[in-house]
Amino acid sequence: MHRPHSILLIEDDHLLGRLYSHLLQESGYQVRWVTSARTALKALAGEDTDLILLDVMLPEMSGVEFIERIPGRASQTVMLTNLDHARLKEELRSKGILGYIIKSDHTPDSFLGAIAEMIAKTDGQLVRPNRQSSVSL
Amino acid sequence: MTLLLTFLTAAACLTMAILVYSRNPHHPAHQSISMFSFLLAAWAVSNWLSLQDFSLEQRFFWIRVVMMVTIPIPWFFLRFALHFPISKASKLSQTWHQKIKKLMLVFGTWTVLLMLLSFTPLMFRRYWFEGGQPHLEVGIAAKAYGLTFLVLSTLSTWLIFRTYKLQQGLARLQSAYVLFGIAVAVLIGFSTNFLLVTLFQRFEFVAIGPLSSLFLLGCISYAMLKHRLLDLRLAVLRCTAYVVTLGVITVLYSFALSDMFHQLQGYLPALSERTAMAVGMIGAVLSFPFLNTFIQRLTQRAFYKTAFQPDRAHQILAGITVRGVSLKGLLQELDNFFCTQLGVRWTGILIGKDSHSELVTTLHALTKISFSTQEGSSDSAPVQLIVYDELPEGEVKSFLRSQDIMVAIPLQVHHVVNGWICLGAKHSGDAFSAEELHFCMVAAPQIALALQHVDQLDQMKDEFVSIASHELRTPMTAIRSYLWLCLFKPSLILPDTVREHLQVAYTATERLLELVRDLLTLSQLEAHRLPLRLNRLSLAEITQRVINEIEPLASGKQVRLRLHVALADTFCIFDSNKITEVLHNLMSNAVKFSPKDSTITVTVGGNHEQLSVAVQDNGPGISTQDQAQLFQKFGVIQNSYRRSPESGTGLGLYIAQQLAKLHGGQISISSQPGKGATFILQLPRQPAPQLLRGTKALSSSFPSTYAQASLHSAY
Repeated sequence: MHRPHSILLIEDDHLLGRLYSHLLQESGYQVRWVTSARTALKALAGEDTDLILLDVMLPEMSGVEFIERIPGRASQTVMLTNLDHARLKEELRSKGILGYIIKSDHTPDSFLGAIAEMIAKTDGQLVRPNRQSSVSL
Repeated sequence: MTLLLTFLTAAACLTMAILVYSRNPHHPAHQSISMFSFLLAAWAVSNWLSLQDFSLEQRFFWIRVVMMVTIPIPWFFLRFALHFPISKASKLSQTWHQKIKKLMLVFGTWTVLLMLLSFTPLMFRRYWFEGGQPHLEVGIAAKAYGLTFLVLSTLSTWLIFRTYKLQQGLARLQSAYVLFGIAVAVLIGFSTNFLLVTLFQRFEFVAIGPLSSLFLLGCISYAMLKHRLLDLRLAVLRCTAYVVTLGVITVLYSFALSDMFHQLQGYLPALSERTAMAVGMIGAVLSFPFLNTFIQRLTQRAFYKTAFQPDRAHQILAGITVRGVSLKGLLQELDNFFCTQLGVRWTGILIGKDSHSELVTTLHALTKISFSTQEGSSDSAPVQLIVYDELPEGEVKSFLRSQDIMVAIPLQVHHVVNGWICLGAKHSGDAFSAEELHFCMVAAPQIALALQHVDQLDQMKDEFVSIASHELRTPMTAIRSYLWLCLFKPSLILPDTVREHLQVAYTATERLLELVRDLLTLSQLEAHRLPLRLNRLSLAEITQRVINEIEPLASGKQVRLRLHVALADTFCIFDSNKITEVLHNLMSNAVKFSPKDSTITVTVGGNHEQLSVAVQDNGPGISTQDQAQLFQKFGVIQNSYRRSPESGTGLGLYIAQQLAKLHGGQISISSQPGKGATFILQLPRQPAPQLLRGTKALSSSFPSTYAQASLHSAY
């Protein structure tokens, strides 16, 4: 039994943060949810992380500034945002991020599917999310 | 008869020479044919001179001249054959061309040698008359020339024949005509003027020689006119038309003038004929320039070519760049502009790194411009135009040929080349005049700047929409996801949490509505459709009302609100709803950014002309950088994507500022990081007269329940 994938979620909106962390936990991932980029930097230093889900609009340090601090881990980072304009996307793509998910495009199901795809890209194998437990949200 | 023919031949050849050379002085084919024609003209003239009734020595001299003039002819023709314009897509093997090109120098030297020898006995030993008929004894050099002529002509013919075989379409036709012309001309010319003279001593047909060259010229001309050889068609047509018209009109004119003078002489018999002639000539000379310009303009119009006027073009271009609001629109207008003003077949505008990147990269590489540096090339000289016709053969030229580009104009802004404008060939087939190229050089930076601005504008619009929709999408995501869970995953949800979920969704919708309201106000403001209901009210009273509304919000953070009224009379004409909104925005911001247990001071002051409401807080203050963006739509957000802890819609301050401006007032800010911020709303006591345009008159004691003036903003 391989260890479950570890995801670091950086999202300052409480409603969405709660939603996403519960959905991901329920799918069998190990989730750490932080609400600011500074806390995220500390969290990255602490434990192993397979995937970073990063919001752009954050207090004090934005998602873009955060990526600039961790260039080596850009290929593990998926942007999770509702911003959708060319200049931002180009800027992020040039930093080498793994993917770009627009939050409002997804229902909880399709969101989990997108995450699974991203995880698969990082370790090259198809991951089956574990859905047996029913977790109270 | 021979005089006329000679004259015609010489004139025709000379005209051809001038036309061909002026069309494209740098192209070797043009140069060669031009020289070739010139020499033919010289041949005709000297040939005629050698047949005149001069002394023996003189006639001999002219025969030598004939020889000297005709010797270089095959060399130039060979050069023409080597550089015969072939179509751009040809894959004609260049090996033979290269070999012969190397030999050209040798041939050239040999030609010059022969030319010099034509004045020595090596060429012609003797020339005498016998029984009224001329006889010529030729030397070794003449025979050598005969051989040279044969060799070079064969080579030329063979080269053109290859073109004929290997080319398709136009080049094939052109080469066919030239071949035909050569065949006939060589046959006749060479036989009558060389073979018969040197081998058979028969001089009767010598006069025919130059005429055969006329035949060759005729074929080449036909190829030019009908099949665009050397792209001379329009030039030839125009020149012919011009000359003919000019000739006819000159003749008519001179007849009219002389007629007039005969009349004049009738009235003034004292007038000598000389004076009359002089007057006539002066009159003709003075009036001729006007006639000349008139005829020129006529012929130009007749061939659908209006002369290029740079001033007018600059004017039109200025209009286009000022009007440019969308990238697509501007590109289309520029395309139209170049196609109509310069009469080119097509215009291509390449901007940015990604569009047609291959083309741009190649152009950059060929002109050695660095792509990514901010400073462009190390020397600060601006990048020059690339003109196909002026380039020497090489990588750049063949690249341009393959893309059918005649002129490439760099779009340069501050030493960075953003892109290129590529122009195709003109419809008329003419080359680009110096004037037109100069215009392109001058206009290029202007166009580059306009394109950059429009691009930025498009980007800004894009970003505004993105940020606005981001603000809409965020609450939407929450609503959608939680509702989805309620509807589709009931098994995961225990019943007593349903209410909690729905509450979450509901709160999110409130935030959404707030934003929608703001966007609506915004669009009304932008379209200048926001009606103001003006009344004369007490500003202090309104301010107090807003403070009362904000109380609950403030007390939650233990923030106190203090009001100071520095004037007795705070009456002012304004729209109470809008100003309430402004003050509400300023004060709620102050509360949001105030730390716990602090005080917000609101001061109402001013003078008899204007009033002010100052809202001062003790929060973190605002940096100068953010201050600059504060009153723009989503300004602070766009600056750094940072999220302040309790943000509103991002549009509040912008709307507040616009509402203040509608009243003829404004909102200003004074703040330093760490020292809090003071927002000051200033309103004129009386709105400016133009705001009251189209309204009913207001009396100073109008109660608010009566009909009010509804006005639309003045701008």
